[in-house]
Amino acid sequence: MCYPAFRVVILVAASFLLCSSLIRAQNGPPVHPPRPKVLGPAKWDPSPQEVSAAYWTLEPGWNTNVEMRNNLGFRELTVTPVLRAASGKEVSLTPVTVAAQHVISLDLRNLAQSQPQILNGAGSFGSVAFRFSGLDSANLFAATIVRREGQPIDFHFDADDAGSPLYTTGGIEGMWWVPDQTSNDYLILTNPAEKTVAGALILSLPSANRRIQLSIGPGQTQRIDLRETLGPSSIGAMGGLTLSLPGRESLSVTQIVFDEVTGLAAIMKLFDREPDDEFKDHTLLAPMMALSLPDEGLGFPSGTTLIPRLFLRNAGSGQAKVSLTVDWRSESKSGKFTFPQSALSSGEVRVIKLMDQQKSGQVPVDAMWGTVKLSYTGRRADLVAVALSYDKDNRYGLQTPFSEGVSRMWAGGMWHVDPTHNTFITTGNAGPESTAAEVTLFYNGGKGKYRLKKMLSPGQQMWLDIGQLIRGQIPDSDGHVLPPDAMNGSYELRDLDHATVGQLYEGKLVIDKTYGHASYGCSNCCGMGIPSLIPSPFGGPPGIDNQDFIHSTEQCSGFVDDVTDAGYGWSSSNTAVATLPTRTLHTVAVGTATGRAEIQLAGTHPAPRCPPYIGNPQQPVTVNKCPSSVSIAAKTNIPLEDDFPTYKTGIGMVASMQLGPPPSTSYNQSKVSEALSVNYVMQNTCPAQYFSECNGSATFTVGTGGTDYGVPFNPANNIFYDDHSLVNTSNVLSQAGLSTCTYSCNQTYSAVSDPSGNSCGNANIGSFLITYTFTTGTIQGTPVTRTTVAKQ
Amino acid sequence: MFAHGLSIVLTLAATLAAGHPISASNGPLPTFGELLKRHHIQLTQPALVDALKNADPEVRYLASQKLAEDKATETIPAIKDALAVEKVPSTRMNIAFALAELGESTGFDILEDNCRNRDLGPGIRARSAEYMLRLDRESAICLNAVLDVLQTAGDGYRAEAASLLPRFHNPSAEESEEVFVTLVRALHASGVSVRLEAGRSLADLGDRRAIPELHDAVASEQDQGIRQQLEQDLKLLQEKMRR
Repeated sequence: MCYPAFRVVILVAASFLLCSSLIRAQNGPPVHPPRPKVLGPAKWDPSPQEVSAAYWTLEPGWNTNVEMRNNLGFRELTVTPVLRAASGKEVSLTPVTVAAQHVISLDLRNLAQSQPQILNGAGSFGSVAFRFSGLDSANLFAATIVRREGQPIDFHFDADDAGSPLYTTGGIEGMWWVPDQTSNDYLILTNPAEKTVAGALILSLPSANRRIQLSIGPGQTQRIDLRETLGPSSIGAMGGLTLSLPGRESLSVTQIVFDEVTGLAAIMKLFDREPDDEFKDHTLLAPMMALSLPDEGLGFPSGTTLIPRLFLRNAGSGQAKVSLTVDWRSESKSGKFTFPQSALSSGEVRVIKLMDQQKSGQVPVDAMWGTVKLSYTGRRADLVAVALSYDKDNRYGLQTPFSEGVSRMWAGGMWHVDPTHNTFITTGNAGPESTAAEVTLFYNGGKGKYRLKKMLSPGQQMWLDIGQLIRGQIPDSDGHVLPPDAMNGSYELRDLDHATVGQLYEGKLVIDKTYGHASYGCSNCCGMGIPSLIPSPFGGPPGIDNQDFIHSTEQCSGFVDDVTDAGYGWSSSNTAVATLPTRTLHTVAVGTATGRAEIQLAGTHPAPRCPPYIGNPQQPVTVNKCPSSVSIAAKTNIPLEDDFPTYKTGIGMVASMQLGPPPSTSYNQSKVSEALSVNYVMQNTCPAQYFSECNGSATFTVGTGGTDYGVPFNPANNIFYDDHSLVNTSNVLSQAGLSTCTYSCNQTYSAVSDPSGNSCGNANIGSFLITYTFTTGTIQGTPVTRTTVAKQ
Repeated sequence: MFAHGLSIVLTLAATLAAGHPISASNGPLPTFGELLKRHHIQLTQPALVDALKNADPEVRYLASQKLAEDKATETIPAIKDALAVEKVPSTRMNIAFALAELGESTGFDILEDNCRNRDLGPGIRARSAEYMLRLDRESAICLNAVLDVLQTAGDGYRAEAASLLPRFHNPSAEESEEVFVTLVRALHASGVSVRLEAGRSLADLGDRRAIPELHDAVASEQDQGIRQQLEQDLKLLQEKMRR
């Protein structure tokens, strides 16, 4: 199974940055922006994160594996799995550290040996919370795999960020199905939130509807046996299921059908409604539907014939016109079959057997796989669809879920290849134009990478049989092969040509040949975080051009991408101060403005939808007259002779410091500060008790004059004067018993403010080395200490 | 010359046996206005014009500089009058500099005359040349004066003259050669401060021929601290030559 049904985003917190719908700006998103550049890991500023998987059980005869994949590309994650019993009581398991891009699987029965209260009891089931410290809940892909021991029955429940108060729901639609008197149909409802959720379950029967009131406390799981609830009349039947949640709080809901006698195991996918939804076109895709002739890779007994079926229910209030196409593929060929449009009346449940088309030759008999596409116009979840391919005895078979999800990137769980397991991974292009898809298989604890790239035309699919890749030692796009002993790892899929809002769908089948069963596994769709316009804030002088950037963090991997080329709608709030017609910010005159851009990105939340949104990053702009550099324009030595005999030691030098870059108007009246420190690289041979060391933290006003030892320094544009002189009335070297000595200081200048007093942020604008040299000499026969100052 | 008016005393700890601490000035210069206020001179234009006749020569030149800073061109006649009667050479030079700052040719003429006049001390000649350079006036007369000071004056002025030579950007070929030769000679002067300034000026000039000269100076320098600085000059010149 993939995700349980739940909620819709209300991005309350981020609403000031996001548009409520994909409104195109006057100049819309670029059609084919270049691929973004990965800049590196985002700043590690973690916060508590939690994702939740809908179901685990350790009831007699059942076991559960817990799977955790670290989606981060650059550091490990430490995850604490917390089992919530049906009552809501929590049992924390030992924290697990997972390396970057690595995936691990833990046997819950083994882990729970020290927790007898959750083993083999009537209430030994519930949901699992995965808690960790990270940048985003999408840093972790987690799932539970619930398995009936010794039988071809297992189910995957992928974790998601259910229970977030950001999400609300318009209810859930589905179908119940009790195929046989030995079959079970469980509806599992979990409340991951911190408040009780009330609702009503409506089950449609040919005779009358059943309504069941529900109230589920925080952390609780309620499992409803629908066969028992519906009674004997449900056996061999199917009907509608509606979960009404008037408070709009989200629940994590999933439904499984299994038969311990036949071996049937099916997920009855549930579809979540959006509150206040409107009519629009919807397309549901099921990417890995097994057709009549089973792929040999599935390991089913020879002669097995599958019966591919679609269960459809019109959950809307009016007639639904449904278009159905199947993109089929056999060993050597592929093609498309389009069904006549079907009309389903409100509440109608219909079964479509694709086998009929294979029998009639409309779809080749040897076609093994199909991607099923259903299109309708209505509200989300108006059409409930389940795909199922089992043999006539419901013993051998598999499923593929319908989804509307397409993404720029998918972070997948675990692939297995060993003598009894194999894994198929697929990705397809659901968009209107070609795109380059890349599949990366991680192995060796996430350290090894195997990458395959392929251009996919619209509708085209890429299909990987990982067992075959390993056995055949097939080189990847870089010429690498998977090690022959590689048995498991994680994977990811990327849409390289649509890296901000992608058009790839995905699917994974893990085949267990022990029991002749294949289970479907989903991936995390990976979106991008709220974009930033860089630099923010911007400060600079008039008359310059600055290249702006748009950065956004990939929410799964934690890497920051440069997505500037996907930006559009560049604008400035005050073009008299700065213009931003493109990514080039041009400063015009002193003042403030706000730079803006738009960018279409896929978000991550709520998983698994990764809904596109338009980000509107902003950039405060202050145009000032701050300098960014300083250089020595002139050095004026002042000899000791000028002040002899008042002083017998000294004097030094005044440096004329010039600010840059050359401004359109002057930097006069700007403030510049200095910081001094001892330089320990150069010789320091002057005794500290006689000579000052490197002290000072003065502030200079640019463009002002002054006087030093009777030498006037005239005010000059963009110049400030820095005095480096020392005096003493005695001959200091003589008193120290030295003939020469030297010491050096490091000096750094910082821009404090521009001529109008706007802050320059104390930006470092230049560093210098000042060396003081003291030498003995005579003036008119009197011994003196001369000071020579070098500055560079 | 006049004593420093507003020196920021940074080293109080270094009190010598004689009881005189070293005063280190590091930072901005005291402004003309600040210094005049210390002499109780108002900064109004009439007060400044009046101050041009003050008994204290420091006040007289500070007043002229403040008027130049204020771009008070209407006071040029008053400054000229002050210049005409000024007898203290350094004050006369500084008042001439104020006039030159205001664009008055008289100021430049006086400064150039100072350069020419061998009867004035080397300090006045070198400083006048420096003022001319500050106002972007390159004078062959002042260049010759600086070369003369470098060859004939005491160490302090020689060092000052050596530091001025790279600031002449448009000498003739003959003058350039004389500058180079004089600096190379100064590199071997007995006064350490002269050698240091000559080394730095040769590096600033960027004449490849100075490389072996600096090599020699480094090799013959006994003092490690001085040698380290000459090595830096050599490195600076070599880097300049590589560009």
